[in-house]
Amino acid sequence: MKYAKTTLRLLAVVPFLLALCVALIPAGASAKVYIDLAAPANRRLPIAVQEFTYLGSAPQPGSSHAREIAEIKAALRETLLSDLNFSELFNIIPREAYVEDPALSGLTYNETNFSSWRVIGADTLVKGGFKVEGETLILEARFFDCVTEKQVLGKRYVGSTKNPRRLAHYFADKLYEELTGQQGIFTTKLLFVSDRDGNKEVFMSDYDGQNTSRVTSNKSINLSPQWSPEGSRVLYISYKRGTPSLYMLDLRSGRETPVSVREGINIAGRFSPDGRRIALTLSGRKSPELHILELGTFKDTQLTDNYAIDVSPTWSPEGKKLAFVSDISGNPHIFMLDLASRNIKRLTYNGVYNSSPAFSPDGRHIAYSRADNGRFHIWVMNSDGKDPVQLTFEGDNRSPSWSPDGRYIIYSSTSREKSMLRIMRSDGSGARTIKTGAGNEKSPVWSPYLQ
Amino acid sequence: MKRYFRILPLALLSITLVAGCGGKKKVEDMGGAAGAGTEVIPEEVTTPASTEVVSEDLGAPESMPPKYTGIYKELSPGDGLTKLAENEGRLYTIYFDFDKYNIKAGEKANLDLNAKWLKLNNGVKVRVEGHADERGETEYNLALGDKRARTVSKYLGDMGVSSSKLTTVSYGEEKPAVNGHDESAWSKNRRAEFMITD
Repeated sequence: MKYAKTTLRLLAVVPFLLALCVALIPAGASAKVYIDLAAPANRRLPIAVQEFTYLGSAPQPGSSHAREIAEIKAALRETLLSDLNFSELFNIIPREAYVEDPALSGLTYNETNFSSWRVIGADTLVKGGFKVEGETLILEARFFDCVTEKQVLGKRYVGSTKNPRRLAHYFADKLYEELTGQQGIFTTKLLFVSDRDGNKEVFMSDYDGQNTSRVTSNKSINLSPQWSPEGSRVLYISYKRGTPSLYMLDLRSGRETPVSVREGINIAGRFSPDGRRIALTLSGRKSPELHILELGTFKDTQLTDNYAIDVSPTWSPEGKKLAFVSDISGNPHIFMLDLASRNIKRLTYNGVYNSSPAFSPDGRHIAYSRADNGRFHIWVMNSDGKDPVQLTFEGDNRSPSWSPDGRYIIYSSTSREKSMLRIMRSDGSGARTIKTGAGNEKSPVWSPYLQ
Repeated sequence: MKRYFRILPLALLSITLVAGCGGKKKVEDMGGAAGAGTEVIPEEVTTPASTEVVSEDLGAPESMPPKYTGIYKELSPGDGLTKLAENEGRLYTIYFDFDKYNIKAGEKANLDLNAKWLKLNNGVKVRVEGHADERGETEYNLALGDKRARTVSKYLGDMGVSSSKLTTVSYGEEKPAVNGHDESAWSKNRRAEFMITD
């Protein structure tokens, strides 16, 4: 667990400085660290989240407009609470305890009776209001320090009534950033493979598994989706032409282009950190070898040449190395290839089966799955192969992928013959299942920051 | 007191950092009483129109091939392999050990018969399909299925079957022959199948 502590200790400095400087601007205020990421389990910040108020003219009771407003109202608060819960940094005070009546108080600090919030132990408070104008949803949300009776954060967002959760995620991101000094991950997304339609298709959802949409719907087999570094393109394997080939979908235009449709297998494509190249496995007429394809010119460079399987590359964040899986030593192990020198170094020596390496966003660690006696578990090691640590102990767990802040790992987990997605902290604690839908969900990948 | 002196330069530095960031922000925070700035949330980066996303709907033409059953030359009167070809459009399936792609000694007899039969019926084309059991990872299993399909194709080639009669495809762990989560199912799923296509 040494790696997690060091990272967190570094992260902890930032909010401390931010809080300190905020405190120093208005002279006389005391320094306040709202959330110290170094000790997330020790003290949670008590927070109350008031019912959101509808700021437009009151809808006719029983009308469809009234129902829409009620649904949006519930979705906004539920999403914010779910985000705050996910972070495990807050102690959310239940609504039943609230004394102040939202109908009789305002949304700003001078319209708030802070003593009524302090009485119930709410050191902090979120209040919000929203308006619906056609399909436009406007959210105003404020975060208060009930002890100093000051507004710490106030935001107005304009979005769509079709996706109220998105506005709440935006506010949650900002709030998280304000309190911790770190960018929030609540507006990030997931790609995964699901068999909910009978065949395997690629799906996309919010980081919490909600708001699912189809990325592919070609009724063949679609596997192993990957994000481009800016999050606007998706790479995946599809059998829609009969054999496993790589395709790229531009999410903005909806245009799909074949990336590699050659003889043999065209699999395991991964965007380089600059988004211009793709590392992949091609078998051609011989054996599965690692290649790099330039996206502009489709110039192809072969990196390995042997009779073994070379597959599942992951780029180091600076783009100079690839960790990958090879069975050249008899069974699957993880190796590191230096792109400049082409030197290959073996990283794993233990376990019967080591696979799906994933570089952490800071490049210091590699998450992977390892089987010793049939069942797979998620492990993390230093990027030089040292200090492997087992993170999961129950079920059968594969395909780890890091959140862009490096604080979480998502993976697929099978138990009782059902495969689902789970998220844990990158030290293995706090594992929870993400509700994505009805099917077997596999191969999750966490998006980069999308805003 | 000493502690504060050490922290102060850092704090000043962070004020500069925060001020620097503030300049880049698109939106001002709402003031205490009156709202000042508004952030318009950009259009979501998601599949823009799910129906438009995949223009090509080819179904699964190769994965569910028609059974090329027919009348073939027999290795011997009423032999089992010719019956299999005539009734199910395929030859003997070859099985592998976990995570292996070498041909097991016990599988050679059937593979030799497949080779002999293909030479006898030299107008027939076969697609060799490599499969893996569900253990292991998606991508590695695709590569493993590819190795298995190629290993048996090469063996058939060495036995004198023309390479123009053979194509290969890997299905990895995606098309198990038997649904199940134990060794009896897995052992039937680690295989190479020989589907008559023409």
